[in-house]
Amino acid sequence: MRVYQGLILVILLLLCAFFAITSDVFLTWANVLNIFTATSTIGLLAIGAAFVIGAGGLDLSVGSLMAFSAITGVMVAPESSTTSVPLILFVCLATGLFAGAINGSLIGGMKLPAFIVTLGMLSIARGLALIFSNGRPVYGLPEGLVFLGQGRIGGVPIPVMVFLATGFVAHILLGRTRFGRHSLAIGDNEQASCNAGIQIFRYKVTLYALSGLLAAMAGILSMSRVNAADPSSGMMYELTAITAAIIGGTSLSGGRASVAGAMIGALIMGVLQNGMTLMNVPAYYQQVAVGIVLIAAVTFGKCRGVHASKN
Amino acid sequence: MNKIFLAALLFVSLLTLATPTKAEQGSIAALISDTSNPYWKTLENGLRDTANTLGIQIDISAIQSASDAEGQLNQCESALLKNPKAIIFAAVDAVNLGSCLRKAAAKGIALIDIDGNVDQQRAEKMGVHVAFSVASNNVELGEKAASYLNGQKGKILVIEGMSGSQPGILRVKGFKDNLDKGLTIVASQGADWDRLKAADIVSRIVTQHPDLSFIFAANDTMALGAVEALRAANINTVKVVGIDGSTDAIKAIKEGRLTASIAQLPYLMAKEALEKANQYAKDRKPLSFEQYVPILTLDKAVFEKNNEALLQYVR
Amino acid sequence: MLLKIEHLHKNYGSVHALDDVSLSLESGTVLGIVGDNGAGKSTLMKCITGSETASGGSIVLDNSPLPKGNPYASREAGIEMIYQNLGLCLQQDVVENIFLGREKRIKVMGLETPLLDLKGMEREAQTLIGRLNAEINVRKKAGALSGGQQQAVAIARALLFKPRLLIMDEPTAALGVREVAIVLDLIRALKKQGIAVILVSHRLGDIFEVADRIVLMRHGRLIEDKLITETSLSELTRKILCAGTLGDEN
Repeated sequence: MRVYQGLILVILLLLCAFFAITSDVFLTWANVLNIFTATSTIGLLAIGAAFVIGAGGLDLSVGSLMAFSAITGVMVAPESSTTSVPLILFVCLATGLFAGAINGSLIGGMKLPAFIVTLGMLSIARGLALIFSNGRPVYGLPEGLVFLGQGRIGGVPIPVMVFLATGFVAHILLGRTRFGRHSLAIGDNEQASCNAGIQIFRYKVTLYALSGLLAAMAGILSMSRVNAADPSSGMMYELTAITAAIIGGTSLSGGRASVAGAMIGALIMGVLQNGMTLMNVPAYYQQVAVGIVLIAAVTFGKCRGVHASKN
Repeated sequence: MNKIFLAALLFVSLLTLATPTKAEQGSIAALISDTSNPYWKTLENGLRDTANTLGIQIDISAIQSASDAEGQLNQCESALLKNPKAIIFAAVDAVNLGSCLRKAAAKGIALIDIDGNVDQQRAEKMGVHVAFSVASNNVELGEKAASYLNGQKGKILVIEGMSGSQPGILRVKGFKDNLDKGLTIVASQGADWDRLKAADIVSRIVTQHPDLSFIFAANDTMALGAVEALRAANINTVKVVGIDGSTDAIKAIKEGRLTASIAQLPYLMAKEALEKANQYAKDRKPLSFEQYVPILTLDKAVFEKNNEALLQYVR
Repeated sequence: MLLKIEHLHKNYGSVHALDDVSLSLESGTVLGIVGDNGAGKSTLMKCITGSETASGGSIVLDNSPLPKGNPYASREAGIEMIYQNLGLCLQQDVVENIFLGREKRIKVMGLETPLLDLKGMEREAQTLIGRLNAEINVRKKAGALSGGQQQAVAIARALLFKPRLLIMDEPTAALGVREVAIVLDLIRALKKQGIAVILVSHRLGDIFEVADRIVLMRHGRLIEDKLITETSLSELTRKILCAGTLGDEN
């Protein structure tokens, strides 16, 4: 596993080298921070995807949950700067957590397919976000909130710190705790995990709630960056997040996941987007590039025999 | 395995040292909307052609979907790194580029709005001074539509844009304020810039008012929806006027399905924006905020006579 | 006497899945159970592990009666079962599989942290595998192991519970010759450790290799109950085939 992550890290560095040649602004400190800042949103979603997919599931609703939790949070505080930022944050995070828990309960409790349930939640959350906000962005976010997206501590943008810190904690959680172990075991062989005494239902609810929480965090960062809660934000982000997780070595069939890999995968896509923008390559070519990288990464992983299963 | 890793790291570090960090001077950056929309595609062409004529470097970034606020912010940050002398931007909404444009203003980069999405007061409050805005005069678009119909008599249906949309509100106001007494508005409803919704409204209204003579729609998409609804109801006595002058609308006018469209000229808009931005970046002579771009009434006659100077900008 | 089953009955409505089954088992011995599908083997195993509740009769383990239909009680009493599909997570390594659900955590000054004790588990896994005389790299993924090695991992996992009775369901069914030999050696190693093994298998040859006793079941009843030394492979085969044509009693 670690070998694979090392290899995609090399790919990331080679991409950086390529763009460094094509644009003399690419390897400046300012641009590197830009790349990390721009990647932080997808990065958080990709970490969530690694957990959920590793456990054999799938969460297609994260993009919508981003917008939904952001809108719900700010609706608590109409356009005014004196409203308590902690309250907004709490409502945002709670919304994402709760919506995710609903996903998990339906998937784990009623054994409904994750694809369908989260697809449904995708629509519902998006619809509710549009209803709550009357279809228009909500402006006038309080100062403290905007600072989260635009402020820096010690020269490092806060979104970057949130991304890296979350990645670190998630990495430990996945690889060094019972929770992470059991999540992967469920994705590998649910029946065996159940026989071993792992509470499948509880895990599923928790995992999807975690995914929802990370989506809410991404939503908070996104809205503070653009200074508005936009009900249309995050569209199609779930696909990019899943792509990043898979590039990073998470197996779509479950049982294998990597937080570091998901972060590298997100950075690969961030670097592609940033580098191609600096080269003035039209946006549509960027989409083609992302697709090629995804297929290449999966093929590469297969060829190296990352799949150890025989049966 | 580790050797490859170290080699790559070394290689990249060397590159950091090798490349100079000074970016090119004298370029202009443009942040525009989704170019799958012909309006923006034409605008982009205008920017490129004008840049070629003026001999300046232009870096155009277009977002992939019209509502990608964060994506546009990322593009703005990247544009900033190249140290342009001016940034021409068509923001997704009133505030998404705030943090980036503030930094640009602090660097002394000239900020020019294109297509009129910026809210000047809100921008000033955020510490972003926009030099001027190059856009069509939405009120005038509505007024010209009214002028086109003035002198005739009959019942009119007005199809408005998305509620809360500033351009839509201004166009409808311009239309209504400039309309002759001889023309009566029997209904005025919003169709959210949507073709199907406009068609639905028309189908309903023509049954209520079989003697309807005219339809005015605040943009071409809705106007064409109205045209389809009329065709479905087998009515060919109603005249339809739209706004924008989009490629679809032009085709419909030439084929005789759409009566007229008050065209915006995105190519000309781009040309004027770039020329004025380039000039302003040099001499910083203040201009009035609203820099309106000429508009053109298009109908079959105009195309047949083909003697309008502005027609060259209809692309 | 470790295990004593007396007059066990199990009815599903009017169907007698188990009909007056009695048998006994000593520690450190292997009991082979054979019989066709529907003979009642699985039902008997399920009653012992507590997945099913017997309708009548008793199961006594080491002189204490076993509560009926209680998987936790059966586990507590030291009864473990290894299913035919082994229940392994193929993408996890041997250590992870052995400790699945019972992972050890790092203790700091007597308090348990949420972090896993990776080194400790690896050491213990190595020991368990060693006791089974199996040569396996515990860092390998379970999916990369041979059938016999996977069986060893499943047994090692069961051993973590320190069972007194281990039930194995068709452990050699899908294995090649060499693998079968490995598994039979594993069973012998278990015997040496004083663990009683019930071996459910249709491969008479394997049973005759390691079992001390063999019972034949049909239609929920015990047809034969003999020491291995009292019978032979051919005799038993005949009994299994004949009874189908001549009737139940022999």
